Amino acid sequence: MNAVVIGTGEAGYTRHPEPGQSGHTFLRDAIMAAVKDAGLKHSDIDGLAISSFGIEPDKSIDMAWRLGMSLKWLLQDTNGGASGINMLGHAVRGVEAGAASAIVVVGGDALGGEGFAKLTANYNRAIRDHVSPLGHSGPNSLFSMLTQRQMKAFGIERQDYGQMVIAQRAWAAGNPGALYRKPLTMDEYMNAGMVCDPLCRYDCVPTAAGASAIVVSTADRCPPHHLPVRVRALKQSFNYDNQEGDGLKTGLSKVASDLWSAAGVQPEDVGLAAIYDDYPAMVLAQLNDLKLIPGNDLARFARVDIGERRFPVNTSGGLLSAGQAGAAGGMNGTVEAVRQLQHVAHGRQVPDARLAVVSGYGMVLYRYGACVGAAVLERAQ
Amino acid sequence: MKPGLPLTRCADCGAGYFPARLICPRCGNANWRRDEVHDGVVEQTTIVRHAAGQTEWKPRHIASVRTADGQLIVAGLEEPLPEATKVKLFDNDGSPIARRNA
Repeated sequence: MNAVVIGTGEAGYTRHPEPGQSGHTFLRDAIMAAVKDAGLKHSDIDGLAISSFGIEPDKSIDMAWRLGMSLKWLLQDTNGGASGINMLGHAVRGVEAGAASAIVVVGGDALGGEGFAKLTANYNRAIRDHVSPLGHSGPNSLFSMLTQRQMKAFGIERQDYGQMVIAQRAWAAGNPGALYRKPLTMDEYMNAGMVCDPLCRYDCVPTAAGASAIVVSTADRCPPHHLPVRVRALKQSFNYDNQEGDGLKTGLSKVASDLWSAAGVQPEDVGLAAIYDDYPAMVLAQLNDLKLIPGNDLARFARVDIGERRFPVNTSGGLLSAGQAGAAGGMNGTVEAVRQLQHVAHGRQVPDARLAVVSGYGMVLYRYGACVGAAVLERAQ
Repeated sequence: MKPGLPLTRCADCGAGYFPARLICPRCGNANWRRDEVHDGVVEQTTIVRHAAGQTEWKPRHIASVRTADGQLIVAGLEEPLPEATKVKLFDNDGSPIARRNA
């Protein structure tokens, strides 16, 4: 693939938006930051991909109009946590096909607690009609039972998940854009109030308001102050098992071999991972599907490789510490991986970062997520 | 609250589904007949202790139940039940409820 990422931008990642701030303004501010970082003018942008739960009744074209963009290429994505990877894939192909020359890809929301509750209760017909009336209160109940299954199947203890959460918080300390940056102790984790057994509050993403954006273009448009980031390969899977499994595998298990083969590298070549972390259990599930966990030993990988930060996972702090700003969740990892590969992740830079894997996961149909994708990104020389 | 969980069953290959589908993923056909399943086994349970956007919230008990026909469903419990409890399934206006099989 010849298209590259040449800029990133973020806005918000706050619990309490100030007067005048909204999902729309965070989306705008992230876009403007990304375009500036890419060294482009507003008028250079000829493609827009946008994902947001909260822009209704506006659509992508309404946003293009409000954002003052005249475009050749437009996409609105509805794949939640998997939207970032989906939009990245479409944008790369859009640039390579010549449909557009500079596409800004953005996700963001300012839903707030009530907005989030309303969104998750009416997520789709199956959830609205068959699950919400039970008082399931969003995806926590479903992933609490999935987490129980994973603990049983792989011999994982709560402390193992705790090590992951603590490590992500330690990474977040180096990210000025993260919502929570204060170090977390195992005592605090183990003594935190249960939200939905066995998930405690630190296992559940904090709702934030904000937006994340990237610019996809060609390498010749990349500004001199940083190197472009190439997408070596990108693979996705949608509804791979009709919700009839245990959710401990994702569709990545079906496409991981193709991903590494297309990328022309091996899992062990990758220096960092940005894995969609709606819950710690899903980070382990995706890492395992991506063949990054030796010997299926999820507990050890959580405790040692992630916990001791031997293998950098979610260096932005992930959604668990940086915050989940609705549809920005699908973009947060991509922005972070690009910054790491550009060697501009000040305060948390992984030395000599050259290759990264990024994943997105989301859209609970009934029992767990059905959309998943991953990309291998490379620092272009 | 009616006894039994409503299933849509493929009239061609016999596979049963909850929630209802439009096309059978097994055989690709769309000939459905209505059916019910009455029995199941609790596989996991959880307690929803907090809910986003709610200030007055009573903890709810929710279970993953495998029906006697093989579907994995999300069901509400009226009391905490241990794993492996055999249950009877009920339809509460679209929401599955599982009660201990007395």
